[in-house]
Amino acid sequence: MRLYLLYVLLGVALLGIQAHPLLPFAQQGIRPDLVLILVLYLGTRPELELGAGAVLVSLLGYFCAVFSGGPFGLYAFVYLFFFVSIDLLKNVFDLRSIYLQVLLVVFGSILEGGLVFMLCWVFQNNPHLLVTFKNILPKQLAFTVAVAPVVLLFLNYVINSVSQNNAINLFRVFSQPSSVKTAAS
Amino acid sequence: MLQFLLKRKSVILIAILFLLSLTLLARDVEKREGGGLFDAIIMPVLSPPLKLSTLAFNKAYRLWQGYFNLVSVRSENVLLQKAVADLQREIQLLREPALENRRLRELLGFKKKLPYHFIPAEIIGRDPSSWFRTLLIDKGTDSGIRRGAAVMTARGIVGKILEAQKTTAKVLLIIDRNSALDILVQRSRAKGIIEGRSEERCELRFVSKNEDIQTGDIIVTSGLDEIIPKGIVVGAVVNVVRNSPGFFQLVEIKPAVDFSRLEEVFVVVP
Repeated sequence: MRLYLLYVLLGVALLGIQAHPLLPFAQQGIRPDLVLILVLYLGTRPELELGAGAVLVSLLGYFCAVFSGGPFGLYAFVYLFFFVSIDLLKNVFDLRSIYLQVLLVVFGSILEGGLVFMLCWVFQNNPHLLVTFKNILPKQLAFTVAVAPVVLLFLNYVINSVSQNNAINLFRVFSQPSSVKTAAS
Repeated sequence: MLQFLLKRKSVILIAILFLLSLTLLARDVEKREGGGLFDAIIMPVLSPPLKLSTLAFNKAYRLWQGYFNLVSVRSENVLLQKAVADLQREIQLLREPALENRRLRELLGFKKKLPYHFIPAEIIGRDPSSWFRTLLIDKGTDSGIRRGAAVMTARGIVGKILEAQKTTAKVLLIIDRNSALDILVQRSRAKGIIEGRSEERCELRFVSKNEDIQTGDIIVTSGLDEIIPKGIVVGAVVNVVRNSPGFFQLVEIKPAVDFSRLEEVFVVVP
């Protein structure tokens, strides 16, 4: 439970940084997609169950929509799509390697742009979307991939620290003499 | 049947989540009502820390800039005093026509224009995605802000209010590709609609080929919707293509506002 709460808090913190008006890398309105990196990372976590993870990433998508000018539900759909896809890929590849995770971010950024473009085209039917998509995608990809290793290392460190603390506490509980455990219960 | 559903509960949950997100997406595209409950819960939690951190950084930045700016303060002061004097002379010259205009409008029985109020607001957030262009400001319905209200700076129009909660509001910038604003060409009074294209460019649409538009022409709001005041500067024409296919000219506009440097805006309410 504590871990799920941590994931939500990390998502909210990254969203706050991403939406901050003084973000240093926000050149010409292009912002690195930190929440996408988190969603892709969460997809690679073995302890995250499919159902709970799906609810979690949908929630992160709705949080994004609160700040974004995009339609409500857009990012929930996109993040859910990524989470489910990575869950399927986990059975084939070992996605715990940071190099593979960075590669995931590269493909994820490109695919996210494609998904957003496709959904907006279907629902909003804006004829100028393709030009916007072609102008923004390369810069968006470059910025996101540039910060991905740092963000992934940070997420690894934080989540593994919390997980290990839980493991240490569990170990302490199970290694106590039985008389103490009985008294405690 | 129950056993079948329980075995596949994750798949069913994911299908429901997909369906829910698509339904909300389709509904929001049509009605543009925003996140409702999500907005009401998330915004009051996240907007205070965003606002505090933005204010702290802005203060530090202004102190730093102030130190460097002291170097050229004296010469800038002289220039500004001259500019103020010129503007005061211009105001005096314009006062008489304004008074005459008011008298004539009263004589003709025109409906009296409502005075507008300007509500200052700080920008506390920007769109986290690169695909849309919106701002988050620290004022909302509690301050009298309503959806559709114009947002501007001293340089010109910034956009309009897309959604408003109690203490925050989302502004759709004129450079967003979903933005559309009714405008006038100040010199020739040609009408059109301006739509966003990129961070530094907008496109003027539905201007027929026989309208007189030239590079350098100033574009202002038309005030046709009676929510956005008439005469707010939008930008200037940078390119005109008359021999494009179709009935309309292709006109490129450079917005008057520098959107990368916005810190404070004014919301115009009647």
